[in-house]
Amino acid sequence: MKSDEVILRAKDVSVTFPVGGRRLIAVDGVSLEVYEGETLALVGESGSGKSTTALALIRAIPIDGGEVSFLGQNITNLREKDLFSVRRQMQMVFQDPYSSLDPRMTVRQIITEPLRAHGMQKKAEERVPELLAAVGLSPESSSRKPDQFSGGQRQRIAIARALALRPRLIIADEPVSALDVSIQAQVVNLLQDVQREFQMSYLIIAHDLGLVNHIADRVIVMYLGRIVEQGTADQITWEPQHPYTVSLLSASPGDAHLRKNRIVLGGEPPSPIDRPSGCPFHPRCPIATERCTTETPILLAIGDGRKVACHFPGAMDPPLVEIQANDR
Amino acid sequence: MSIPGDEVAGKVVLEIKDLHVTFPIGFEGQEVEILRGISLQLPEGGVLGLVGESGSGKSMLLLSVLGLLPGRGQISKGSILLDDEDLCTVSAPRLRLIRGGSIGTIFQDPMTSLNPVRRIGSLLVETLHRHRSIDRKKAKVVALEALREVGVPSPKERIRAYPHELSGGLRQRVMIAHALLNQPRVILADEPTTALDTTTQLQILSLLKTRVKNASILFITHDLGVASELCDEIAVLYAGRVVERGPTAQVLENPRHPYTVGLIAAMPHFTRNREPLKVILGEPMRLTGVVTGCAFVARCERALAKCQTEDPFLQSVDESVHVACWNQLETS
Repeated sequence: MKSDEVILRAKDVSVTFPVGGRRLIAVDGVSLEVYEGETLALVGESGSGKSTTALALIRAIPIDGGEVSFLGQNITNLREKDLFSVRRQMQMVFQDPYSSLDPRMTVRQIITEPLRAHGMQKKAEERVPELLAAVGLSPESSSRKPDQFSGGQRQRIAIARALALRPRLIIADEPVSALDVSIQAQVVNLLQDVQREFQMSYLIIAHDLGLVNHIADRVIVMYLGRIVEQGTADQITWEPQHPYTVSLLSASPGDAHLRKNRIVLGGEPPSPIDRPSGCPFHPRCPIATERCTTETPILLAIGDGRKVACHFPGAMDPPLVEIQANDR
Repeated sequence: MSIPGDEVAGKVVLEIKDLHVTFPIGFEGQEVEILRGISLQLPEGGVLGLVGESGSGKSMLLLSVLGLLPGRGQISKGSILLDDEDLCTVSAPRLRLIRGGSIGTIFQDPMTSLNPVRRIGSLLVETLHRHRSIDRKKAKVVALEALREVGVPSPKERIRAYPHELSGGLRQRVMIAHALLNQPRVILADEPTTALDTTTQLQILSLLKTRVKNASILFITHDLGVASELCDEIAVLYAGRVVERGPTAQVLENPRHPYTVGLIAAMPHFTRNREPLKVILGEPMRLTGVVTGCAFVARCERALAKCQTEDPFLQSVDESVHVACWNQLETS
């Protein structure tokens, strides 16, 4: 399933926005790879730049620095016209299926729109039954409009639309966080099923670390527009190196039986408008020293494919203890 | 068999007895019952979590307590006793005194529940004025102290701020300060942390845990994990009914109603074992007419023939746990 082939590569990507005559740095030198068939999760608080990073990677917003290549092609400066064909291979699923589906279109129109946009009228009609079946909707659904469906069913429609062009990459921004708890599991399982069936990579933006641990192969933790840690889902969950990752795991609610050391992070989620000196996390960091206030740590490889940007990686104990599945 | 919940230890501050709420539908006098006989007790100093999905009636229950049911919704049966005063029958002016007085409320989104054109200070001072005779100067001192106590940094400046000038976490702290102003007996909290980042959520939960000493909390949430952080007891709602109720640890570790079991199994946990999540089939029940039998029957893996026709009632399994199910799970 997973392979060593990189389908999306970002090198030192930056995104800035003009704010009151200054440039606000939303994404600050992000480098990452998405491998074929894998699920990569971007996590962080609001303001961490995770959604902005995803939008930049698909060129939905302008990139101010760095380079993005997709399926071997440099798309950083591609013109809109040429981007159009590239985008066939990258589709999105959004958080809120109430605002991401056109209420005046039927399900058939919604899920075939990508095909029609790319001039595949004939194929569009053929694919309707197969797309509906793939996301577990009945054939009769095709003539109905979104308001006749529940939130979970709407998200299934959104997933069918994303699958229509058989993309290589799906970017999903908080795909289940607007759904009821009993429906979230259905949609999570569906995402995993269609990934296997259609051989795609996922870039998932999420805040729920329990979900991320379940769904992702690899995890990137962002803070104030930068990557502060990356590793496999197991490494991030059980052996977090960065104090911010430790804090996020601490703050994940529930699972009391797994908790060992819990820290309540002070302060506010960061704002890129006033970026602290040195390590951007230092004002909230439980173990910050003098050095952290002046010297910005760079993202360094620490072996096993892991990277961390901290002067004192691994200095904090992991907040969760692993127990065997049968122990519960 | 005892009547469920009659044996709660300690003094009960808020007692909801067999509450039924109906909304008219259509034009021919039809109505739909959205709360179908809810009984709950909130003990002094206790935190009771009401957990349910959309449409379970959890927010309607809260609005019933406040006397703020929308539209033509009405309480058709039952009572809501706050220290032995029935909120279903008190006068409107009295109810206005109770709201913001002995009942403080925290809503999910402080951006829409705080008046956007008024400064934080003026909001706090108004609530103080309405409930006690206090002069302006004194009220401002009390308001400042209230902000300080909920951890609002530099309260002297923030008191002059408008809601939009504050972060989500700070706005929710202001909401909590506001809810605590008049030493309430009960705090009603409706998804107070759902709109926040998890790190801020943990701050707010810790704040509620440490700061709310003299009030009981009715904590409404869709998230069992969040409920487990704060609540002594959990009541699980489904289709306008309490289907399971008990001490938090017992409900989470030994759930007995198939719906509770399903909710817990559907949550992703931290584990290296990445098998597909267990799902509850179907969609949350939408109450549109009269329910015969158990409302959960269509989604239930343990349903019996009886469940189709006979509505299970909440019965006590032991002193503290109550379950409404004909085929509940045994404890392990």
